[in-house]
Amino acid sequence: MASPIADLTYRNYDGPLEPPVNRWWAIAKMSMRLSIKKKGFWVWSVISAYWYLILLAVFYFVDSGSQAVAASGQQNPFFKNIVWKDQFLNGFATAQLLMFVLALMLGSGAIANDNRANALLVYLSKPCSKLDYVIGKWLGIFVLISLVSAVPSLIFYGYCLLSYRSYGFVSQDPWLIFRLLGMVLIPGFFHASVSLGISSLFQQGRLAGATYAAFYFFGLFFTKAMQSIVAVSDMNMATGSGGGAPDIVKNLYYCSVDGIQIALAKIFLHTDGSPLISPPGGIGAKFGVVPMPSFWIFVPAYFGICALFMILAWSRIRAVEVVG
Amino acid sequence: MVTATNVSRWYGQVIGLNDISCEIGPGITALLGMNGAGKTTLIRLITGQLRPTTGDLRVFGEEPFANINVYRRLGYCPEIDNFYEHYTGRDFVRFLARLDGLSSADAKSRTEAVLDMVGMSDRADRKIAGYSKGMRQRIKLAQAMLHDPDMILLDEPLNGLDPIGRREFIDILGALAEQGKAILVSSHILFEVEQMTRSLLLLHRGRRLATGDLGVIRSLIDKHPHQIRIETDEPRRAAALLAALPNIVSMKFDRSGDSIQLEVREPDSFYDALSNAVIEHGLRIRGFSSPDNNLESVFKYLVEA
Repeated sequence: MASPIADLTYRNYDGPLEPPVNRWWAIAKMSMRLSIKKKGFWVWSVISAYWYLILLAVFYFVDSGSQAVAASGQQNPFFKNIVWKDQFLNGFATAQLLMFVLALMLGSGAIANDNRANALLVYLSKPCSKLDYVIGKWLGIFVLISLVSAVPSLIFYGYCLLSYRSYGFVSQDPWLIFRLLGMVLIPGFFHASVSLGISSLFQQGRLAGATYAAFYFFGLFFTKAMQSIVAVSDMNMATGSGGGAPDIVKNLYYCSVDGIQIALAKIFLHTDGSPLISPPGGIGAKFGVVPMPSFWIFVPAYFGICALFMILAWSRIRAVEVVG
Repeated sequence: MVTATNVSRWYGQVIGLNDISCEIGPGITALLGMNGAGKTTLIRLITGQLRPTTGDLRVFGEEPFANINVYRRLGYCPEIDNFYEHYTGRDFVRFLARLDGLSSADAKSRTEAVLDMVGMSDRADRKIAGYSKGMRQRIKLAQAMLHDPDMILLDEPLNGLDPIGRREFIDILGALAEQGKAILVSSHILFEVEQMTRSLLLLHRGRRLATGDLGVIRSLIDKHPHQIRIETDEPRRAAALLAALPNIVSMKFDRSGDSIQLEVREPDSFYDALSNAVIEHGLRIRGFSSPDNNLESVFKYLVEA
């Protein structure tokens, strides 16, 4: 039984010390542990899957309401005309704002709060390099956002695989699962890099978050404006009263936080995208749909932006002491 | 363990440390100085968080800046204590144990051991946000001891500790020093530093003012004679006997009339002469003390000089 009197004598540690590698994993794990303790993380994670929940509900009711069609041996026209990978693109695109909210929650304070708490003074006095620290923090955000992005997509994929193979779910694109696995990493990679870079500039998470939000919403406004121009141009073209939107407008559509991620998702899925209900190639199917952008412009741009913000974070990290 | 040779560190136009040369070995060394003296700069140079602008600094024979081999042998307890508030004390220490290179199982057991040592075991599951200043100090010390480092640097470690906490803290540092570890303690609380060590490194405006044993430094300060207070029932007779001694600089009587205050040079020879006066002339002395034979006075004399 332990003595009621505390033993305050010094005791040596003579166990092994691991070589100074993989410190980033300790930092990543601790970051993730802190994040998953936040209720907001779980709430926003569930909400971010709303489009897939709506799709599942629509599919369920369409299935239920067309028993007679199924009994007659005919295929349901709703499912027959669906472009399956576009549904994943829609799910991805509609979750962008919520992914951004999660990125704010997980990433804006990642370095700024450590700056404020002067925790870097302690971390960097350990056998842990700046690179370990940046990678650990980055991974802590990337893994969580990627999981939030992946789980609903993969559940939906599993549901469709079991239920709609006869409607071309597999035959439309046999490589869809691999495309999806690439697509779900896009927001995590981007938000982790950008939010970390912005966070390193500040000593308060809120200021970092506000800056990223301003950056995000300004870009979003721009993207929506470009999308409207494309939609109007498409309508004019359909009615014969004008030409289509110029290529520059279509490319500018992708020049925002959401836009560049959607661009990459389209490239990964190899699709232009389409609305849920409109049949592929049908009238109105392409109104407001911006075609897949150039791989050679947007893939380098995406990774370039990520690298830029990571370098910014790395260069800004130093043990600081906040006075006052 | 630490050897600094003509080390200077500039912050733009401001000089933090100016041409410091010193050695810090095993045992407790007090790093003293007023605000802006360069204490924290020196600690951060030793912990490898800053690089000297000029000069050569070696810790365990290596340059410490961004040197992981040095970090593995250092424990650092910074002055700041607004650590990550969302962590519990236990989580925080365990996380840092993992950063120190302990395996998961070792990190767990070592965390418990160091929390025990600093008396925080029963409060370690609370969030750091709810900790008092003293509890934060203990957690900081705990994380600095995790990997059993050869050298521990403590920046103002006694701030915020209650008297019992200070005593426990000093005892722990004493035990570490007895094991041959180097402990560098930066502090403004001279009284407590004096209880910890007699070995000093005194900085003032970025320069090294003194280094070595407190007694030796004190004896070298010739400009300020030592003050000695003698309590006796016959102060005037004592004054007459002692006035003949060559080392006496001045003497005065207390208002109470039962003691005299002397200023002497070479206190050792004065004490010999005082013994003779007691034995040969039957001078009755109730007690004597040396009010300026302490760190605070040394600090004051050196800085004012």
